[in-house]
Amino acid sequence: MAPGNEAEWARLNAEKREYHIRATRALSPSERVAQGQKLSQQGVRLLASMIRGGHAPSRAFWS
Amino acid sequence: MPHPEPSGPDLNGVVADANAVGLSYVVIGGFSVMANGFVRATKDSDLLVPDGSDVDGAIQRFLDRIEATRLHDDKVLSETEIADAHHIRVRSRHGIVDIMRGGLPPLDYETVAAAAIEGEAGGEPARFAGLRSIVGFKRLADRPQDRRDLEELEAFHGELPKDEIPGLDT
Repeated sequence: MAPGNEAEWARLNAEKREYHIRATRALSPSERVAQGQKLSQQGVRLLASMIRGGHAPSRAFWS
Repeated sequence: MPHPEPSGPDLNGVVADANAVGLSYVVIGGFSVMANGFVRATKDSDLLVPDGSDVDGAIQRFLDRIEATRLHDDKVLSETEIADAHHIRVRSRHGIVDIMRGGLPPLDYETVAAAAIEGEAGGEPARFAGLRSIVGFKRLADRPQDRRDLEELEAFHGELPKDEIPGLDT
């Protein structure tokens, strides 16, 4: 985590993207949507708790 | 007026209720991006519906069933407001739902529906916009999230199919 490591970060990011692409290819479109729906609901719950706790402005959700 | 705490999008519920009232629709937006290979979070469910007054009754029944109120003022929409609106954004018991009427070809309802992916959500049949339609919508909207979606879909599919979009390419 310091300037000068851009090439290493690019490699790690590419590996991560490849992993996600492989995992997603193994799913049907409906399975992808089901996974995304869970992710979305978790994300909104987390955001709501951050707003409740005063760690994010309420406009964060409605933007 | 402060908004109540948001809830996450429940596409399963949206699809079940749209099917129950006989609303013709194609799922577009974030959930269609997921179906096409980029699984990410979204805050709402987006539906494309046919243009024209024939569908107004089904939209009304759908909005009643999901207990919808308009997002910006919490108003229950009247028949006239539904008929006049090209885009309806509501909060509902299934989270935020955006309803858009089809635009000009190739982003009209008939073209998008013909190219849609048949799938399901929560055991209910559902149609999701196909890649070609998504690319058109995203190119037209061109917000940061749209550009990110196109980048990720290109990483997944390779070169993306592009149709000429009136007003954008002509």
